[in-house]
Amino acid sequence: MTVRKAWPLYLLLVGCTALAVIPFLWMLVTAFKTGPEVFRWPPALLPETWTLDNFGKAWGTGNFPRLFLNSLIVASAATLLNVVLDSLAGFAFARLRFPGRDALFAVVLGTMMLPAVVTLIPLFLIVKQLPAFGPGGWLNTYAGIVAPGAASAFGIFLFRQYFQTIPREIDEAAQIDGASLWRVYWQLVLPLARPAVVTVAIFTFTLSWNDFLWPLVVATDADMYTVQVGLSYFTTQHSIDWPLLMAGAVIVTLPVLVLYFALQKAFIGGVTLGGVKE
Amino acid sequence: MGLPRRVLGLTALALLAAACKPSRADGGKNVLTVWLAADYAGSPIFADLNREFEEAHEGVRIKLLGVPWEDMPTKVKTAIIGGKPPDIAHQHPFALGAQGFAEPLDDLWRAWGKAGEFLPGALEDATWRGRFYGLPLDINCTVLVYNRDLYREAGLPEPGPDYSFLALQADLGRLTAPARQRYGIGLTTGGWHTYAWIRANGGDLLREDEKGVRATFTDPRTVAAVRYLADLGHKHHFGPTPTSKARDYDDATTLFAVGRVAVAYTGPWDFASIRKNAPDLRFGVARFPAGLDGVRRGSVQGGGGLFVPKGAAHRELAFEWMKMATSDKYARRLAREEGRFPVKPHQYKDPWFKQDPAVRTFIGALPSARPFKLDAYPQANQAFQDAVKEAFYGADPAVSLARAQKVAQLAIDAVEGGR
Amino acid sequence: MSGPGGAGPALEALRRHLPAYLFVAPALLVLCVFVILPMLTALVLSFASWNLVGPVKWVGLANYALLFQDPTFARSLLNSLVYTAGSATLGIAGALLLALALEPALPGIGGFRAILFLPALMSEVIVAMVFQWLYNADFGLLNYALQLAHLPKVPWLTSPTFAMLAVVLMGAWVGAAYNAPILLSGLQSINPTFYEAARLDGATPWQEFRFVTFPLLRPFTLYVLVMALIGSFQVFGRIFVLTGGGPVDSTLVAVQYIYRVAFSFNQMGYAAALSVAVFAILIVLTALQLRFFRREDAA
Repeated sequence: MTVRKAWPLYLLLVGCTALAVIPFLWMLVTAFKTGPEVFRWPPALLPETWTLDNFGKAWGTGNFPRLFLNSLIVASAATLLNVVLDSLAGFAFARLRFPGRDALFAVVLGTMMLPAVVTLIPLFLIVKQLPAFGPGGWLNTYAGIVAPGAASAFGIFLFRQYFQTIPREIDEAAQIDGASLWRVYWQLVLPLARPAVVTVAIFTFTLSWNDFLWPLVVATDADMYTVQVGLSYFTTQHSIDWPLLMAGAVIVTLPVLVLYFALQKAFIGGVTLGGVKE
Repeated sequence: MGLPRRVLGLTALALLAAACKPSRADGGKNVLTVWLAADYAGSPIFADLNREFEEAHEGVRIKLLGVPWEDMPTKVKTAIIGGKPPDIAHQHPFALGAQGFAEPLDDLWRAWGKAGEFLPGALEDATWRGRFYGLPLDINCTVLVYNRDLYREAGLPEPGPDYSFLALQADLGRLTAPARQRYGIGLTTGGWHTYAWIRANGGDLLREDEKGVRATFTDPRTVAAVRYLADLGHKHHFGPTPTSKARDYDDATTLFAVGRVAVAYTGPWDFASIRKNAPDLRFGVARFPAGLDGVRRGSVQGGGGLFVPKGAAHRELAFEWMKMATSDKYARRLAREEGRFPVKPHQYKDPWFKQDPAVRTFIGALPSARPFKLDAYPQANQAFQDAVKEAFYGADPAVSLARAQKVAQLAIDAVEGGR
Repeated sequence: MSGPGGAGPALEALRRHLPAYLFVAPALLVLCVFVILPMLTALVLSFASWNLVGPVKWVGLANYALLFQDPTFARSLLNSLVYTAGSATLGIAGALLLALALEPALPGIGGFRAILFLPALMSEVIVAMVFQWLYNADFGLLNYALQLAHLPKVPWLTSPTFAMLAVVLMGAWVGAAYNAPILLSGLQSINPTFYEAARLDGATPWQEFRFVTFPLLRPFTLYVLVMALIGSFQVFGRIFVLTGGGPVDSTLVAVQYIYRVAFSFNQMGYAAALSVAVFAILIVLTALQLRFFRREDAA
C-alpha cells in the first residue's frame, strides 16, 4: 500500500491514538497544574501556570526512591524468571509429545481461574514456612514477593501459542544433525520467538510493577514496600490534592513506559517469521 | 546487539539482589512491632516517641510500619492467621475486639487505673460490651463547613446556634444555582457520614440492653434523617448526586474547596488540606444542626485507637508504648502538627486550642459525638450502607432500611449467639 | 530393560520423555507450590466455616447450598458476565482493528505501535483514578465533549445503567491496547507467501482476510479470547476504585463480593465456596471456547 492511498488508515490511527492517549495526557497535564484549576468548567486543557512543584514534592515524600528500587528489583526478577520458565514450559507443551501433556496444560490454565482473594492467606502461610531465610521464611524478602509470580499460566500459554506457529521442520532438521532438544530450544526456536519474549517481558514487568495487595501483605518493613503501596499511602494522605496525586501517578508509571519504549524497538523489529526464511 | 544483552545483565543482577534478604541483626533485642495508619506513621512525632521509648526501655527496639488505613484490617488479619501479628495496630479497637481480632486489655487498664482521665466517647471507641480492647489515640467528629462568601452573596446569615435541618434546607435552596455550576451541599453516601445526621436527628442504629443487641434502622428518627439527606440530593437537587466509590467524601470536600458547593460535612482533618488547596476560601465551621424536632444533639465520632492483635508477642510492652503515645507531650504535638485531637479532657486546657475558631467550634461539638458502633458487625454495616445508597438513588428509605434491618439483625444475632 | 511387573513400561516412558518433563518442571514447580497448593487449601476450606479467629468448623456442603440462595452473589455473577461480555468483545474487536491497522510497514507506523499500547501499562488504580475524573458528570472531559457536540450530559457514574457502561468502556480501552500487540505479532508471523498465493488467485482484501489472515491468526485469537474471558472475570481493583461496586450494586462484580465476604465479613469458608463456584464457571466457559475452536479446526 502506498502512503498516498493509506491516508484513511492514518486518519483511523490518529483517532485511535487520541483515544488511547487522552487519559494519560490528562493525567500528565493535571500534574503540572495547581489546585483549583483542576475543576474549572469548561475544563482547562492546559495549565495557566506550569509548575514542577508537584513532582518534586511527590518524589520527596517518604521513601519513594527506595520503593522505586524495590519495585525495579522485584519486577526485573519476575520478568527474567517468567521469560525463562514460561518459554521452557511453553516449548514443551507446543512441540513435544509426552504422557499427560494435555492434562498438565489444562491444570496450568486452571491456575488462572480461581480468584486470588481466598488464596491470599494460604499463600502467606506457605511463604512463611519456606526454608533458607530464617524464622520468617520468605516473608519480607524480595524472594517472597517475586516467587509466587515467577511462572505464570498466561506466559506459558502465550509461548505455547507462539511456538505452535513455528514449523516443526526446523526442529527435525536440527535433530537429524544431532542437536539436543535443549539446543533446539535455546539456539533455534527461542530466538525466532522474539516477539513472544518481548511481549511476555513487557506484560510480566507491568503486572509485577502494578501489583499492590501481595507486596502490601508480605512486607513488614517500610523499606520493603513497593512503589504501588507508596502510591496508596500517598493517595490517602493527599486525597483532595489532585495535581499532587497525578504527579505521583506519573512518576510511578514512568519506569514501565521507559522499559516499554526501550524494548518495543526490539519488538517491532521482529518482523515476519514463523516461516522458513526466504 | 547491545540492548538485550544489557537488559539481560541487569535482570540477572536483579535476580541476585532478589535472592538476598535485607538482613537486620536485632542482636537479641526485643522488637516491638507497631503498625500505624500511613498518614500518622510518616510523622516525626513517632520517630521521636520511638527514640524516647527505646531509651526508657533497655533492650527494646521499635519497628514502625505505615499501612494505608483502609487496608489495615486485611493486613492485620492475614498477619494474625499467619502467626506473625504486630504488637500494636491502629484502627477502631472496639470493632476489631468485637470481631475477635484484638486482645482484651482489662487487666492492664485496671492496674493502670487511669481510665477516668479519658473522654467518655474516646473510651467507647476502645471498649466493647464492657471489655477494653485497646487504647484510644485520637478523636474527632464531623462538623459543617460552609463557605462564608457564598452565604454572604446569597444574603444569608451564617449558621448560628439554632441552626436546624429545616433552616439548612431552606438556605441550601438559596445557595443552589445550577446555571452557575454551584450547589448548596456536597453529599456523600458513606455510612459513617450519614450516621452523623441520624444522631443529629435523635435516631440511632443499634440499641444494647440486657436482651442483647438490636438493630434500630427503622426507628422513625433514623428513617427521617436518611430521608432528609437523600431528598436534599435526589428530590431537591441541592447537591450533585454523589458517586458510590469508596471515598466519595473526598469528592464532597474537593467540591467545597473549589467553591462549587457552599456546605460540606467533614472534620478537622480536612481543615488543613482545604486551607492548603484553597487559600483564598473563607470558610466557617458550625456544629451539626438541630434535628427535625428542633433539638440539637450530636454528630458522629471518629478518630482511632491502638490495639494489640490477637497472638501478639509483647502485650504489656505494647500497652506501655500506647500509654506514651497518648501522654500529654505527644498528644500536644499530634494536635499541633497533624491536626489529630487528644483523648483526655485536661489536654484541651492548652491555650492553643482556643486560637482557631474552627477548632474551637469543633471542640465544642466533641462531647456530644458518638462512635459508629456498626463497625463491630461488618455484615450489618454493609446492609446499612447499601440501604443508604439506595435511598440516595431514589428508593424509599423506610423500605430500604426495613429490609436492611432484617439482614443486620440476623448478622448481629449470628455474632452474638456465637459467643 | 523391563523391570518387574508393570513398573517397567512406566519407567521406560519416563526415561524416554525425561527431557520434556525437565522442560516443564521448573514452571510447574513454581505453580504447584505457590498457586495450586493454595488453591487446594481454598477448596478444602470451602467445606468449612471459619471466621478467622475461631476454630475451623466442618459444614460439608452448607456453603454451597447458601451460595445458591445468595441474591447478592447472583447479582455479582450477572455483573461479572455482563462486564466480561462487554469489555472482552469490544476490547478484542478493537484490538483486531488496531492490529490490522498497525501491520502495514508504513512510515511512522512504529510510533503509532508504540503509543497505542500505553493504556495497558498504567496500573489499574491509576487508570481508575483518571477515568473517575473523565467520567465526572459535572467537570469531566467526556461530558464536556458531549456538550460541545450538543449532546446531553451523561450521568456516567451516578446512574446504575450508565455506570456499567462506563466500566465496560474503561475495560475495553485497556483490553484493546493490551491485546493489539499480541494479535499484531500474530499477523506478523504469517508467512507472506500465503498472501502472494492468494493474490495470484485473484483474492480481494476481504477474501484475503477471511481465508488467509483469520485462519492463520487462530492460535493468537484463541489465546486472546481465553485470556480475555478469564481475565475480565477476575477484574476487581479497577472497578472498585471507580465505582466501589455501585451505584446500588450495579457494578458489583463477583471478585469484589468475594473479597468483601472474606475480609470484611470474615467468612473465609463461604468466600472459598464462592471462589470455587467462579472457578467452575470459568472452567466450563473456557472448555466451551476451546471446543468451539477445535470444531472449527476440524471443519
